[in-house]
Amino acid sequence: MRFDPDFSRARRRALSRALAGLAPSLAVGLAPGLLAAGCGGGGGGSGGAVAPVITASAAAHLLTQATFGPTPEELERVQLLGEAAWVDEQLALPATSHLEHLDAYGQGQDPASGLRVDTWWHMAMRAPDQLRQRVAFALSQLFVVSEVEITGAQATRGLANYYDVLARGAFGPYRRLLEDVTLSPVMGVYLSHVKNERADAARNVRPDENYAREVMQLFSIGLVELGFDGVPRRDGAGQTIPTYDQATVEGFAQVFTGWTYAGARSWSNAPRNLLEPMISFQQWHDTSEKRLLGGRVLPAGRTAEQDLADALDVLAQHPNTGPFVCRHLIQRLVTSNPGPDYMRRVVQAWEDDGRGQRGNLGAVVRAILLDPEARRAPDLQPAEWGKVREPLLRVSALWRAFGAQPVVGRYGYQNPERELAQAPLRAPSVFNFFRPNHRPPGELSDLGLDAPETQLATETTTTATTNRFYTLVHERWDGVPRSLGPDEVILSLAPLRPLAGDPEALVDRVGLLLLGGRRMPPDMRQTVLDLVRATPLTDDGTQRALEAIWIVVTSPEFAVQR
Amino acid sequence: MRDDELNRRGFLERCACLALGGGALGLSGILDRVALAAPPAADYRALVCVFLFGGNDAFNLLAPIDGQDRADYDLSRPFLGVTAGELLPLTPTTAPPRGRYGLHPQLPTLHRLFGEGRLALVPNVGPLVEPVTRATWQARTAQLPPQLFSHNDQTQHWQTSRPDRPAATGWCGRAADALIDQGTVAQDIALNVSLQGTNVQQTGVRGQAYSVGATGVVRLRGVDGGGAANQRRRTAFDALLARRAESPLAREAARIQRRAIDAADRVATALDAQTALQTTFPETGVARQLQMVARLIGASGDLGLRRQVFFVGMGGYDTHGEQATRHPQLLGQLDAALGAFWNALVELNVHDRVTTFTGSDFGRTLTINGDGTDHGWGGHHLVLGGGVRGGDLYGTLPVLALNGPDDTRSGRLIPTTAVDQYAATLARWLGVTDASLPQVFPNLSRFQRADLGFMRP
Repeated sequence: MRFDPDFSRARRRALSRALAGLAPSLAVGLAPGLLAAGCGGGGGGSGGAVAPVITASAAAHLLTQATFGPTPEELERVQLLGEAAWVDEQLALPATSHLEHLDAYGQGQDPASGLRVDTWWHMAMRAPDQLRQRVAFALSQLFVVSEVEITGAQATRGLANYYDVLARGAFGPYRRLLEDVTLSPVMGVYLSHVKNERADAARNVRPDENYAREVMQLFSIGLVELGFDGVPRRDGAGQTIPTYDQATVEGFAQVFTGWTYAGARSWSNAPRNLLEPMISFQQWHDTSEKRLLGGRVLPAGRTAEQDLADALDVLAQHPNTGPFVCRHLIQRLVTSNPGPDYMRRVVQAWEDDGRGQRGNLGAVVRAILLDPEARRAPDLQPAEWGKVREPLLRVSALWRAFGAQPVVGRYGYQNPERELAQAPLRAPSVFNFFRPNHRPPGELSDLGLDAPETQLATETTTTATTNRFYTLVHERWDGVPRSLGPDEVILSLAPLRPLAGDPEALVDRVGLLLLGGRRMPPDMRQTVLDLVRATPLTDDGTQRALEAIWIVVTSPEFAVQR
Repeated sequence: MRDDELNRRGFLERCACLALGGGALGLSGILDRVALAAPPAADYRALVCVFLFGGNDAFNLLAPIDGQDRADYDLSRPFLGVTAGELLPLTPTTAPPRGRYGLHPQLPTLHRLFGEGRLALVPNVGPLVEPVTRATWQARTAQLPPQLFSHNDQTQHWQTSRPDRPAATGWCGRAADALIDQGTVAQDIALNVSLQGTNVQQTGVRGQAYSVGATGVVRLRGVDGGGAANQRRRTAFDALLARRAESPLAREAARIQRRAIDAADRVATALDAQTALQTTFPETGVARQLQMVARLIGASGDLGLRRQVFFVGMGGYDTHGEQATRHPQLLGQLDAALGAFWNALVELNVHDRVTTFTGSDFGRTLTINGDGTDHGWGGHHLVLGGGVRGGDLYGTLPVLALNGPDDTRSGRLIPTTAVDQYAATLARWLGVTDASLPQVFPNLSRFQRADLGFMRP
């Protein structure tokens, strides 16, 4: 079924009324009987009051963009609500806290850093606020901090709290989030503006330029002027136009002076505090005049707070910031190469959320996901649409699809970067795991297609990732004949085993859960079917289920979301 | 699409197969070679780039001991500098014009290798579109690399040596293309090998670097060896890689996996055939990468390779803060890793045929931000090897005075040697002919000397 906004809106209203009296668990409990049709079914509208309004594959498509992967339960929920209502429901959910979960592990003041990654897996798998968590993950790759350079006391709790800051601010105003990030002590350590001093000519000291440069280059406006469609503008000579120069960096560097850890008694007596926002000491703030962007000058003699507020306003109001941030979010959620029309519509939501507010990230996320281009069925998208899935999201998609459960409550996969070259808040630098405009040489460069995630795809990581999937599938399932370690995550094959005698049903179910709403291409489906059929059905169906899952998660089609 | 583009793509695809596929050597050929365990070819040559990510503070790596340069240094950098007494003094063949120089105290091995004539220093290198002076800088008449002082842009400029335009290929990639086009080599394994993932430096028109982890080559699990289940899986897996996906992104994913599988068996087999190195390496990331490079060089004979370029990376050099503790640690690790690598090359008897050199995003500011330094432009670099005319400095030591002839402002120094010149000197040694140089370094003719003279012929 094609997405039809009007139809869907009407159905949604009817559904909301129908669902209003039902507890969520009851609603989900009702669903299986009504939604057994699975891929290709649904949407006929001939059922009772609670009938699916969109197909399972349309739901899988949305969930691949908006969560850590479809689960059977969430598929049903989206089918019942429709895309817009599901997104709105998600937008209203409060943030689940990483820090609280981390602390619940009971590891004292300084939990091991692996437990933070474990917490991240827990949220990816279980947090009800999936969309918020997914957007927080995207924001963690915009406002990058990395454990690689934040170690020592409180680092793990500080990083978990930083992630909570992103999750809490994920649907709020960009301007507020930019301030929360700027004053985060974790960012202060990472980009060294904590304890940044005003200039001291006598000692030949000038303010640290680190945060000043990166907040412009990477967190707000970018290097070159952009059109509303995110395409760099060009001057008469065909050259891109720089947004700032070294003098601008120096102006902003003066702004970010005078801030230190919360609880500091004095500038020199400021013990590390990685949890609370930084505070200012006026006598260490540079009070001279500051030249910022576009001729904006901050007069001399003002407080650290006044300068910070105005400087962040300048960044948030800059015409580049909308296209820059929107393109980042589109690339992380939907497609690597958004066309100009899609970009413009999303940037419009940035400019005005419908209530006159600018930079409302919730409205932007809604516009990104509910845009007709994003909602067009994957099989109808142009060939170049979509993105390479981030490695972490491939693993989470596998686990969520098949109800993976940790043996004792921990996910154990605490150093995924060893195979995947990616782990939450462990980017190699403030430039994230990959650059937004990365193009591998060869066909993609020839076609002019950005493919950021391919920057991680080397011979080494590709095979290591494939091998990891061998472990996660063939060696970790319910009933595997060996004793399980406490930190292993076990796939539940129970729903698939009954399908083993019907290879087509088995393969279609696996395809629905893993291929992001795409119909499995016929020749691929034949190959997968051949493998399943060639696997002797001499057990309870386990082996056929495993083969079907493994061949799909290691396939090039699974590596991409459309 | 034009016909010539189609042809080019077809050609590229064939090259990609050749670069890493079974190529000319069948399995039996490999086994024969393994049995022989051939040493590296007599005319083997390799470059090893050690990229110091973040922007190394080169002005503390090599610093003046006395004379006018020391006076300037003390004024520009009143603290966080290396004291004259700590520096390990150098006695280069050509005496520096304005006072003696020394290496950071954490570089004792490199200091010894300089004394033995194995290490050369190339001062104040950086990306340039054309020569720049303080006058042309201030008058804004100089053509400059865009986005100066930005990490990824200057890294890109270093690695492409094309700061004047967005370039999709790097100088090591183009050097490899040239060696093949010239007929110097006819290798069926990628000439460029990266221990640090994808990078533009090693990307050429003919493809990108082959990536190896510091622990070696990763082989595919669960689909090889006996067992009917494994055979079935392998058949299906190969079929899904071979099918033409509708999405170009999926096609790319398939290509990488195919390349990885095809190369892994060959390279792993050659590595396994080598006797273990006696040289011990420190337990650091950069040392582990260099250890793997040494092992791969050891296996080059078995793989039939005559030219290679390796890329190794070391991070952490972006010392905006806590530089006093962090930078000496980094230099100490670098010194120990390069020392172990040198020993391993001597053990393999290839030390005259392997040249190791540094690159970095940029040099840092001479001035200080309180407890660190910020992004600069020019910086000093190291070249190590038996083929190096060591024990000397090549190029021009910059004047370290603020507002001096080499200063843009705040001690961000204008490079006195272009990356193109530094890299061309290395590429010529590797075998890029003078006729091919313009293809590899299109801007080289804008600078006075194409060869800085630090390599023996």
